[in-house]
Amino acid sequence: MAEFRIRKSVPETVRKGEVFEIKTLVTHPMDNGFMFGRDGKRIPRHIIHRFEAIYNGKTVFGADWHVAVSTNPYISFHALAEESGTIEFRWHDDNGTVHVDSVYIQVI
Amino acid sequence: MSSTHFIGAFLAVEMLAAVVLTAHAQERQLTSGAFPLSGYHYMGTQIQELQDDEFLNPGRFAVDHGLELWLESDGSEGLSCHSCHGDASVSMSGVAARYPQFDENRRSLVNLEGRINEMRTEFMKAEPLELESEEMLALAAYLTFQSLGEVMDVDVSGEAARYLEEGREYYMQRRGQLDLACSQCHDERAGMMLRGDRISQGHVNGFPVYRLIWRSMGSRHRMFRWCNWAVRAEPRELGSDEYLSLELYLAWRGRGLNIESPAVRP
Amino acid sequence: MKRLLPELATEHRGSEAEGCGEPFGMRRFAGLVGRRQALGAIVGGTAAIAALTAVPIPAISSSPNMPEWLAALIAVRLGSTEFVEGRVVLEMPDRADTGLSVPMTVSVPDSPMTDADHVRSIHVVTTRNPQPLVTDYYFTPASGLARVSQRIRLARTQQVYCFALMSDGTSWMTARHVSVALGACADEIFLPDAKQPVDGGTS
Ligand code: HEC
Ligand code: HEC
Repeated sequence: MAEFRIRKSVPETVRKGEVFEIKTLVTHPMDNGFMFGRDGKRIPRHIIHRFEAIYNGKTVFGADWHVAVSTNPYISFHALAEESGTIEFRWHDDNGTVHVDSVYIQVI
Repeated sequence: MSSTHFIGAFLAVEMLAAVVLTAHAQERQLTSGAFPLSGYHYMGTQIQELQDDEFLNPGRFAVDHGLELWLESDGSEGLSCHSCHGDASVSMSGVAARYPQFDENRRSLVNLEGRINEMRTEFMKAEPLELESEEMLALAAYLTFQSLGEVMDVDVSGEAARYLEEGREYYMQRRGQLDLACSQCHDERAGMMLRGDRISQGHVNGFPVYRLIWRSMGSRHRMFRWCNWAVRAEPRELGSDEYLSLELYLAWRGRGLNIESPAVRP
Repeated sequence: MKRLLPELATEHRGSEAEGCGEPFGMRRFAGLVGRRQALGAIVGGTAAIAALTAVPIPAISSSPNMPEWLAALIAVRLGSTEFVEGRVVLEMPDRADTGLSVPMTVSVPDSPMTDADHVRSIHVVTTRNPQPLVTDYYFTPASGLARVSQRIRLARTQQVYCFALMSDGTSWMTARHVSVALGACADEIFLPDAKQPVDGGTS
């Protein structure tokens, strides 16, 4: 899909000190550079090569992705609930764009 | 087959499977062409999970996109689908399960994509959407999603009967360099492996479908083209009369199956 | 604890043919770039060349099972050769329904994830993808739990290796064998000479 679409999920609320799951799924071709298009030309590599999660300004999790990550990359990971606030996600695209989105997490 | 017979047949096979309790029973259930079984049952659990999990299902992006298009005004009348139809979960519930259908005014078969374009050109005075474009697939997926779980039930009485017959003929006719009919794979060989893929009964209840090898959504007609390619036959045009009749036949052949679009297939 | 259990790293060279649903277009790719070139491209620069040619084969590859190039790659990238089998867990199916989307979960379930003792990173590498690197995950104590799930592509039946580096300086590893049934790309099955693209454009 041409447009970069984002799906994300965190629990509605979480208790302080608890570990919670964070999931994201985005639309991206993750062209691995090994495939050939209909015109017989090789489709150049075009992937998201880095993903980061920043919780209240602090990077809590990061990932480097290589060409083996499936089309429409999905990831599930965890964070420790400290304070209510935002978790910012950053997807670094090969084309230089950094796609940014965030969720609010309520810590009780 | 009436629906009670259908359920009876299904229960009989289910019970058989329970009694025999072997891989054979499973195999028999999958290979039996006596009752319709969704393509879902022929998929491995890793693919089924992609379809079942609302979060993971990539087809749901198309549904979300479809909602945006539903609300967006276009064309010289300044109208959106929503302007006339309101909440699609009410106005469009069960609609997709009745397509394709015979259109009295046009005196021809029309499928969901055809109806969408008719709305755009006649009511909205907008350009028709290209078949198989992202927008068309998104709108079709959104409309079909309003019938999720509904039973496929097309009307094949009256004028439609002729098209049903045409569709059946196309389905049964051998074609291509391999000289194979649709029925030879999807009726006679359902359950068998074609390299890594298990051949299903070839139903259309999962469409528009997300196919991993396409890396996108695809319509029923795109699938027909793919299967035509499979036997090296000349594919027909998307939206062609032959494919419309074939679509009607397949929808009727799978009557009783629940709509499960957006399905996910390998 | 044993080091590099033999059964972990057995390479299975299957006889699967490649098809359109094939995750890396290997059929076309084969012969274009050799393993060594591919590797060089990944590690990049002189370090890689050195690792591949001059550096004595690190301890990790004393196991007959892990391919030498993989041991070298890991030594260069992770700066460690002392991997002990254990602690890190790799969950994957034995058989993938399709190589295009294989569920994978990696974790170090017994790490307390405290400042003093946590998982720094987990790295996933395959033996027979055209490009062996899959993912690198970086954790902090604020990650709470070192457990990540993703969907990945496997070009064919092969070994998947998983390495974990801890804050206390220890390094752990595990591996799994995953077989991949390649999808039916009908025109190829029936007509091997078909000139269909492998980008899934078959319509
Ligand atoms: C000007 C008002 C108007 C607009 C705008 C409009 N429709 Fe309709 N639509 C109608 C009417 C009236 C009918 C019923 C008569 C007919 O089928 O021609 C209908 C019928 C339909 C049907 C068939 C329902 C059935 O039971 O078979 C579908 C599907 C549909 N519209 C979808 C859409 C979509 C999608 C859009 C936006 C692209 C849209 N409509 C825009 C007025 C409108
Ligand atoms: C050589 C065997 C073969 C022939 C002949 C064939 N198909 Fe298929 N068809 C397949 C394979 C393989 C698939 C993908 C696996 C599956 O879902 O069955 C498929 C899938 C389908 C699907 C999608 C099923 C689903 O649940 O996603 C439909 C619909 C379909 N075929 C219709 C047809 C029609 C119509 C014809 C005749 C024009 C036809 N097929 C001819 C092999 C064949």
